[in-house]
Amino acid sequence: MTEAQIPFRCEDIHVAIESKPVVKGVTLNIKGGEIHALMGPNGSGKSTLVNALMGHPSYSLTSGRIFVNGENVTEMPPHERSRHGMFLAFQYPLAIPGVTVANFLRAAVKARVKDDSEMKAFRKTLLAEFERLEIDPAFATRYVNDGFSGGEKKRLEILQMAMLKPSIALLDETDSGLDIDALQIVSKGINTVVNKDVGVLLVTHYQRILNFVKPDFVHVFMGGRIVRSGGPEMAAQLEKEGYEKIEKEVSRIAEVA
Amino acid sequence: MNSAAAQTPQSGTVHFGTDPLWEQIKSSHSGPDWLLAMRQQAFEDFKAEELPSRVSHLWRYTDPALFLTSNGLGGGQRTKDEGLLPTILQAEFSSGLLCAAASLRDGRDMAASIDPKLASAGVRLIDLQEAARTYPDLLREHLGSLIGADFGKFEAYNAAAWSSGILIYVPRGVEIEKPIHILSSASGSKHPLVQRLLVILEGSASLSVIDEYGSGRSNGDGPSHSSAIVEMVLGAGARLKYAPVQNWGNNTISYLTQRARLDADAQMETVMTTLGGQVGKVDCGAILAGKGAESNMFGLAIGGARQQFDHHTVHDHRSGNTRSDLHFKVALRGRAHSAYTGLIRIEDHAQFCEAYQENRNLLLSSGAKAESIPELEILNNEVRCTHGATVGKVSPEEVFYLGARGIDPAEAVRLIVTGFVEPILKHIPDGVRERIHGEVLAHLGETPND
Ligand SMILES: Nc1ncnc2c1ncn2[C@@H]1O[C@H](COP(=O)(O)OP(=O)(O)OP(=O)(O)O)[C@@H](O)[C@H]1O
Ligand SMILES: [Mg+2]
Repeated sequence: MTEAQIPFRCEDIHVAIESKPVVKGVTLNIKGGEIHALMGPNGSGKSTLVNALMGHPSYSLTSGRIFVNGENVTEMPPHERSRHGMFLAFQYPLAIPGVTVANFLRAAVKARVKDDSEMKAFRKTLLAEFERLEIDPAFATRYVNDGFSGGEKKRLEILQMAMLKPSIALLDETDSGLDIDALQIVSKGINTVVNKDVGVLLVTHYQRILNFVKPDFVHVFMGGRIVRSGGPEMAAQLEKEGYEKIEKEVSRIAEVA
Repeated sequence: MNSAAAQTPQSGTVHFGTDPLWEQIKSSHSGPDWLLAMRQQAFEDFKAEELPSRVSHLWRYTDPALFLTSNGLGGGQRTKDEGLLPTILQAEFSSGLLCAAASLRDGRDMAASIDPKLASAGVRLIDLQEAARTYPDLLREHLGSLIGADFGKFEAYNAAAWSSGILIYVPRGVEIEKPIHILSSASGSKHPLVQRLLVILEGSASLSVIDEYGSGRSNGDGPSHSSAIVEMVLGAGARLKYAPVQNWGNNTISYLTQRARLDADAQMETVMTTLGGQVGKVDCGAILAGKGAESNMFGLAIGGARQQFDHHTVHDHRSGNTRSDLHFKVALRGRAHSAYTGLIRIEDHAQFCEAYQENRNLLLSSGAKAESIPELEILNNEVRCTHGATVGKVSPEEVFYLGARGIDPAEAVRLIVTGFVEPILKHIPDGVRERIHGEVLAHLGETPND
C-alpha cells in the first residue's frame, strides 16, 4: 500500500491544554478498511487527542504530524482537515439553535462539492440516510442537537458522517448513551461507511459496541499515551480486568526504565 | 393691554407669525379644518416643549438633538401621485401574496391596491388626510389617542407636521388571511419624512400588516430623518400581526413610535426588524387594556459599521389576566451600538398577569457594544414575571463544531447568526419573509465589520 492510500497516520502527537501536557506522544497508522478501538480510563486524554487531531483551537499541538491520505494536514484549520477527509463524531455534540439539520448539512456538503449541480441529489441522499439510520425525517427541520436526547445526538453524528463520507472517522464514545436497538443501528451505520479506503478510530469504554463493530486493533490509552496495542481479544480482557492491572505493569516498566 | 400680553396665544388660535416650518405645514395640509387645528395645537406643544435632557428616561443612549431637523419638511407640494405601486409591492400583490399593498413615496400621497372583495366587506385602506375628511368621527376618536402631542417633543412634531399617512380599518368580524404590505420610501430626497399609520380593528377582526421603511439599499439614499407614528386599536377579540421593518439607507436618522391598545381577549403579535439607518430609535408598546388580552413581541436588530440603535418596548398590563411575552435579539458587527430598555408595567388591580421578557445580544466584533436594561414596574404580587438579558459572542466551540464538518469560519459565523435570528424571522408573514430574510443576510454581509 502506498503512502497516499493510507487514510490516516499521525506521528508522535503531543497536546497541551493551557500549557499542561495531556497527550504525550501518540503514533497511529490506520489503513483502509481498518477499525481501531481506543480504550482508556476517564480523563486519560482520549477526547483531547481526537479533538486535537481535528484541530480544536484550545488544544495546542506542541509537536507531531498528521497525515490524511498521505497529505500533511497538521497546519490546516479544522474545516480544511474536514474537506481532506477527516471526520470527528463528538462525545458531546453541540447544539446550534436556529440552524436546522437540513441547512447545516447542506452547508457542510456544499463546502466540499466542486459545483452546485452536485447539490441536486442532496435532499434525496439526506432522506435515504434518515431512513437507513431509522431517524424520523422530521429531524431535518429541527435545530441541530437542540433539545435532542443523548441517543438522538449520537445518531445524528453518524448521519453526518454518512453524508460527508470521510476517509478517516474519529468516533468519540459514539456508543455512550445508546439503547440496544440504537446501538445496532449506529453500528450498522459505521460498518457501512468503512470500506477499503476508509479507516475508523473508535473511542469507547465498552466491549458492547465491539460486538457489532469488529475492531482490527485495540489500543489501551493511559496518561496520554498508548500503553498497549493488541487484537480484538484485548477488549474483552480489559472489560473483565479493568485498567488497574495494566496500570501497575506500566508503572513497573516506568520504574525499571 | 401691553404688547407682551398681545403676543400670548389665545386658546384655539395660534400666532406663529412667520415661522417657516409652520407655513410649510399649513401649505402642505390637505385635510379638514379640525385636523389643521389639531396640527396647530401640536405645533404649539412642539415649540413649547424643551428638548429632552440626556439623563431623562429613554434619552440616555441617543442624543435627542439628532432628531431635530433643520431642512424643512419632505415631500414638498402634494400632488395626486401617479398612483403606481413600487415594483416589489406590485409583484407581491399580483402574485396573490397580499390582500392589499400601499406605498408612501417621498412623504406624498399613497398609492394602493386592495383585493376588491375586502373593499366590499368594508375594509378601508386610505390616505389619512382623506380619511379625516371622509370619516371625521372615527379619526377624531382615534387619531392621536395613543400617541398624542403630549407624548413627547418629537411626537408633537409628528402630530403637527405629518405629510402622509394611512388609515387601515377592518370592520367587526372580518378576518383577513393575507397581509397588507406598506412600503415607505424616499427617492434620494435629503428631506425628513414625517408619517403616520392608524390601524383600527373592530371586535373579532383580524389582520397582518407589514410596515416597511426604506429602499433596501445601504447606499446613503433616503430621507435625512424619518419620523413615523403608528397607532393601533384592537377591539375585543381582534387579532393583529404587525411587522415593522426599518431598512433605511445608512444616512437616515429614524424614529418610530408605536402603540397598540388591546381590548378584552385581543391578541397582538409584533415582529420588528431594524436593519438600516445611521441612528434607529424605536419605541414599541402594547397596552393590555382588556381582560384576557395578549401581546407577543419579537424583535430583531442587526447593525454594523457605526450604526446606533436604541430600542424601547412597553408591555403595559392595565387589566387582569393579561399576558405578554417578548424576545428581542440583537446582532452587531463593526462598531455598532445597541441599547435596549424593556418596560413591563403591571397595575395594582391587574392581577393574575403573566409577563416575560428576554433580550439576547450577539457581538460579532470587539468594537460592537450592547446594553440591556429591564424596567419592571409591578404593582401587585399576583403575577408571573420573568426577564433575562445576555450579551455574548459566537463561541469558538460552535465554530469548531461547524469547522469539523468542513464549514469555514466565516460561513460558520453566518450560519450561527442566521440561527440566532431565525426564531424571530420565522414570525414575519409568509411570502414576504423570504425577501426580508435575504435583506437580513445581505445586511450581515454588506456592512463593514471594523
Ligand atoms: N478545556 C479544558 N480545560 C482544562 N482541562 C481540560 C480541558 N479539556 C480537558 N481537560 C483535562 O484534560 C484531561 C483529559 O480529558 P479528556 O476529556 O481528553 O479525557 P477522556 O479520556 O476523553 O475522558 P472520558 O473518558 O471521561 O471522556 C482531563 O484531566 C481533563 O480535565
Ligand atoms: Mg472523552
